[in-house]
Amino acid sequence: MSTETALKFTNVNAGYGDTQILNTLSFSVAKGERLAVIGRNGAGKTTLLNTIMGLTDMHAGSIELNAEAIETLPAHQRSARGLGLVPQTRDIFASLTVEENLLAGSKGRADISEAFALFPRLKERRNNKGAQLSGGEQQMLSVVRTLMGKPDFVMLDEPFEGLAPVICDQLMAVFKELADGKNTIILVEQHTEMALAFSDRLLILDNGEIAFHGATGEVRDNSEILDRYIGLGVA
Amino acid sequence: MEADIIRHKPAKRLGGIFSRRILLDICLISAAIAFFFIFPNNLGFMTRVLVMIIMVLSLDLVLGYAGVATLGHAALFGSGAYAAGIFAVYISANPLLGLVVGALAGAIIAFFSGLILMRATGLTLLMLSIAVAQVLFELVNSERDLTGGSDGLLGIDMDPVLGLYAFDFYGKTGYWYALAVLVVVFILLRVFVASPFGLVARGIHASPERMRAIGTPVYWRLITIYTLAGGIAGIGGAVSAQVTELVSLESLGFNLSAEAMIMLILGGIGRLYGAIFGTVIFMTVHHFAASVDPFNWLFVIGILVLLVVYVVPEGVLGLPEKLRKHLGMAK
Repeated sequence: MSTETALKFTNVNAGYGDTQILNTLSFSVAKGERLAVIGRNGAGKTTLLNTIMGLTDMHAGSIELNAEAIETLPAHQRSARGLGLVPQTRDIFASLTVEENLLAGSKGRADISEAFALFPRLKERRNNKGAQLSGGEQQMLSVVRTLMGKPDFVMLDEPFEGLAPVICDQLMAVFKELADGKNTIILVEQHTEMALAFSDRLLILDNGEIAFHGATGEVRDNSEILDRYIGLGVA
Repeated sequence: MEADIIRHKPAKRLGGIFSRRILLDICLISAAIAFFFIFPNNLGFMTRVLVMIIMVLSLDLVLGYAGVATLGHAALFGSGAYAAGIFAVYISANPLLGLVVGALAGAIIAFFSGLILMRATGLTLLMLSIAVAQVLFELVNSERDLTGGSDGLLGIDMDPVLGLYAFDFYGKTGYWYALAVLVVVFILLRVFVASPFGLVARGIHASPERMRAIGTPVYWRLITIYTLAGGIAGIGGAVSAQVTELVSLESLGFNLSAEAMIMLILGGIGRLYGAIFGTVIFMTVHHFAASVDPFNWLFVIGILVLLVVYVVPEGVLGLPEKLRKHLGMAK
């Protein structure tokens, strides 16, 4: 992890329409950092990722990506600057085949064989429609579709939700590979243990505010923090 | 792994799909050629069907592929028709040049109206699209000196196609000309929808927000698609003006937009072939039902649309699949 800042939030208020969900958030993420975001349901985790991506309404504050202000940029321009979001809802295009899903995300430029190298299972399914895929396969597709845009800052919104442990392990292996390749990663995760195992820094959200932001090690050694904000400790 | 990954049947081979499509294409073109000889007294009607197919194909691109519901497609068709008609009367009666002018007119109107329309969605979009067509309707109606107003644009006398085939009273040349233009348009659309850009259109239809997040400038892509559709509808309008040598205000009317949408829903949206089957069914029923009962023929169309919407929402193109599933369950 370098000391250079990849993302900087300064006093950000954001939400949907007039409804404000994130309250005066300020934090920064270093290049190459693995940041896990945890919090109770409704804490604002998904809204945080959507705000970084430009899919919410900003009410105040500023967001910088690699020292460039991006808060006024539309989502597609943020994507062009290296941001990639794997949404919680996966949003697979149900009527398109696996291959077409990837091509739609690549604008016809990227090499889909790279995607198949990450998840060979998808190669077997390349002519199956999105609607015919299992939950695990859809998540794999959602991940590689985002990676087709060659992001260097990847946001993962509860990627393990509802998946069998073996699929979670496959996905985790790919995420670690991404992180080792110097990508900056924000992982939003309900499975606290997975979040702690993956991350080197942790951000706990509570009611749209930062309850804790620091090294993951601090929390591993002090489960009282998790008890207070998430309602469970780590065994 | 077994718990999460479903075992699938092997995916259909793409080669099989293509060969089936080519077979269907050959059947359709053969039918169009055969109809010329079987129904020599209905060439005018059949030419109108071919022209409408071009317009409905254009609507399919916008509605079926990109998911943009508009009720003002006649604005693009009528622009092409008037532009090609005026061009033929005042500048050149060359049919192919007229097609280019019609395409440009449709595309230009689509581009500029699209700058506003593509920012809207749902009911707002529907209303705005109707408004654009109505504004053009009134504009054309008020410019009587140029457009003929409610009397229609008269005085079109087309040159022979390629300098060889004159438009005749029986509509023989008109039929072959419209068929040739339709085939070219269909091939172009087929290439487009299979291209990465076509996939982007379908992606936008499925989830505009997701497409934005993976780097697609959705608004400009929609304008591009709408402009292309405008060009195609404009070509349809130009062919209509050239083969009938008349442009009437109805070519910009709300009825035309609404009928085009019904034809597409009847046939099945987002599949190109739906535009062909839907238009043929709608216009044939219209043709015969209206000759039996000129006042209540819409009743038959109404029943047809109800049946399709309730029984096969995918349109008549969804019928074979529906039947196959039904028979499979009966076994």
